[in-house]
Amino acid sequence: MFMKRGKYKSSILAFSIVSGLLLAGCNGDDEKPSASTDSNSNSDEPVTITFWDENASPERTPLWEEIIKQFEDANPNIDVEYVVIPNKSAKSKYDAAIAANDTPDVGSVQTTWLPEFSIREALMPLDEYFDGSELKDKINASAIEFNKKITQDGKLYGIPYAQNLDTIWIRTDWFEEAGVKEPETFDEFFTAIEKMTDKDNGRYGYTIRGGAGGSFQLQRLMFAYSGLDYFGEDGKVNINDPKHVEFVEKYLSYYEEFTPKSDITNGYKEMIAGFDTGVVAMVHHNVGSYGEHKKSLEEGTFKTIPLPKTEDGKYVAEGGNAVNIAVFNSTEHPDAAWKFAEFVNSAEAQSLWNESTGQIPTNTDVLDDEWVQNAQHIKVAFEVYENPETKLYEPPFYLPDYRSILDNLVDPGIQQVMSGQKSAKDFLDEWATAIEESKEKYDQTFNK
Amino acid sequence: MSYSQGFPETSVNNKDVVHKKKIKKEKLVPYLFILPSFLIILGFLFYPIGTVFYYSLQNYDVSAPYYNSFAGLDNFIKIFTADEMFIPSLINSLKWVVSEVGLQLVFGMILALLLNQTFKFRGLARAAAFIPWAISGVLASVMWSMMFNEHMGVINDMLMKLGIINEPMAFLASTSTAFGAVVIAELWRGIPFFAITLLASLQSIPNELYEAARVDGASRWKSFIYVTLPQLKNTIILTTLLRVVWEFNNVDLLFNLTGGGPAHSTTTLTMYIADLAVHGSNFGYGSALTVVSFGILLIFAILYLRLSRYEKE
Repeated sequence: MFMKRGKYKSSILAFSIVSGLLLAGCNGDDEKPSASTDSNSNSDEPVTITFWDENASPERTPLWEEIIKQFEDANPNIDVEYVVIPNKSAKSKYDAAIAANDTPDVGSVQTTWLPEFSIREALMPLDEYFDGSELKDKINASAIEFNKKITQDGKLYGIPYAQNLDTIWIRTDWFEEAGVKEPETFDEFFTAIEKMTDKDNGRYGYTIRGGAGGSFQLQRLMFAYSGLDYFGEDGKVNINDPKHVEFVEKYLSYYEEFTPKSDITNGYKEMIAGFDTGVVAMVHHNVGSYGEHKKSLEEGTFKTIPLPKTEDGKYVAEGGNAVNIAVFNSTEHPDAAWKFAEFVNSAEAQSLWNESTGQIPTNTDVLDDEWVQNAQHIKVAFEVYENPETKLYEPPFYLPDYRSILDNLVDPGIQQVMSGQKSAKDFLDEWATAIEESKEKYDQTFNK
Repeated sequence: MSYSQGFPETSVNNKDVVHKKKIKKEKLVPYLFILPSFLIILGFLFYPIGTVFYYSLQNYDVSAPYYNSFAGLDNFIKIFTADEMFIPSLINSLKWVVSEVGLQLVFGMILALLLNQTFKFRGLARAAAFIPWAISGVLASVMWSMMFNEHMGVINDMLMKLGIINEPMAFLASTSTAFGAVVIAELWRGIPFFAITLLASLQSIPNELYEAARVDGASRWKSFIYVTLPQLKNTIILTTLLRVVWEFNNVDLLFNLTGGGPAHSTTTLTMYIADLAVHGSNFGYGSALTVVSFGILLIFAILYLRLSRYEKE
């Protein structure tokens, strides 16, 4: 038997230990909105605007600092406060900021976020500013149209300052040595993986991204293989189309046989490291990783090629693979914020940015620059984007849980198929069901 | 408990009123002293706990505010009836806690007993033994992920040289070895905690008890069972309880080494909550899962303290 006091004491002790430790991992996101310094509209008075960089890295931060310096020199009355956010946590930082109405004046925003942020009324429509600006005739019209098309109200909420494209990076020296043809179709792609694998020498034909972000890679390859739209004419999602099942079955069966064992947990870094350290002959990423490869591999030993074509010979690319400058509704200095957005999209700034990051400029004035003419990876990107036959498919970025379905269901699902715990068909069925349920809920809410 | 302890009453024969006022003031002073801690606890412990309970009854997703609404018990019903991840992740949590706490206690005890002996450079050995505890979680995970690496890891290298394996293994990438690999990494980090606390406790056991046991003819093993263990009982109960709660909520090594993968093989309940709430920003459902794990730990802690007769001889 226990004494009553002891009973009470041990319960309190237990409660306090458990609750104290449980909270160790909790974070409060209840930040209060902060007002900007002054609220004038007179363009001569000094103002400070805040700019959020959604993909900060040691390579990119100095570029932004340079662009900001040039902007401040040209606009002495505007002071830009630069805030760095690592890519991994950028979406959740924006989410929390929007929920707390504590957004920056202007920010770098991925195209896939535009529909959601605009529904949440976080962004300012830029149509008027854009139509009255010189940029109107200079920024890639199809990218602007795409940004309008994906939002609920058809307005322009972001000006794309860089585009990207998924491609395959290959080791040209290894291909020449082995006498293997650079793959243009999926059959050639699979054959190249097989032929380039030489396990005895620690070489693999390809590396699969099985860890974080693997879902994006797989989705883009699936649609490049099938050439289908994301949704069929009946409104049903095409994720579990038999063509996709066929592709995923074959593609993931190459794991371990022709790709490294550690692929199942491969994230971006590991995957790129596999290519750059001479373990794999091919890697699927985008033109933006040019800078990384250039650092580790000798010029002339690597290059990029488009994703293989569909059976009927078409290139396929995922729409919305761009990054934009957006102005937030909470800004008290919309004119100053727009000026900055305009500056980032000027030929000068876009040229500096895109040359160093290896991405595709959207300002047509930059296209004549020498570096654009000489960059093999940029040429490949134009070859795909400017080909009239190229098919752009549009994933439902507007679904609020689009991203979390990919992260929490599809990423682990890929690992389950790779480790043989699940069939490709079951995996794609689950993925399709999740997208369909989410879409149904969305359509009901917005009475589509 | 009397709060006037330590505040001797003055014996000045002033007017009665002044005297009473003074007593009143003296009674108030201790409350003033504990007020800051009380406010801090209220603000940083009870308020956040309250919000977690509140959000567990809501549909609350910061990335989809247009769906936010009162959910009642829907989140909890979903956890127990429709969530395919709940039971597997709870089982992983149990496996994780039992293996971690059990192994850490055993090895921590062995280490504490060794370090309690008298030998040359004992101070240095003690300091070295506690290093893993002082290393940050992120650093430890980076270190272990390199050691487990398939292509350049020291573990593969050693096992190959010893002839135990023929080709390098990707320990963290296989569903059959990932869990064990992370258990070993966390074990390395957790042993010093038990060693430190048990060693402190060992040092407070009076030598006379061992002498008496020796006089009675007890062997070393018997004096460990009948003298050392009973003397360490309260420390063991409290440290294991703390460690169970810690390990249950532990997420840093798992997060960094495997991220819950491959194929959910290392997804514990806490890892699952981190994925849902922090990555997926679904704070409503994440809060409901947190309330459930809070309940599980609370029931465990109460039962554990009672059944183990903590603080009772």
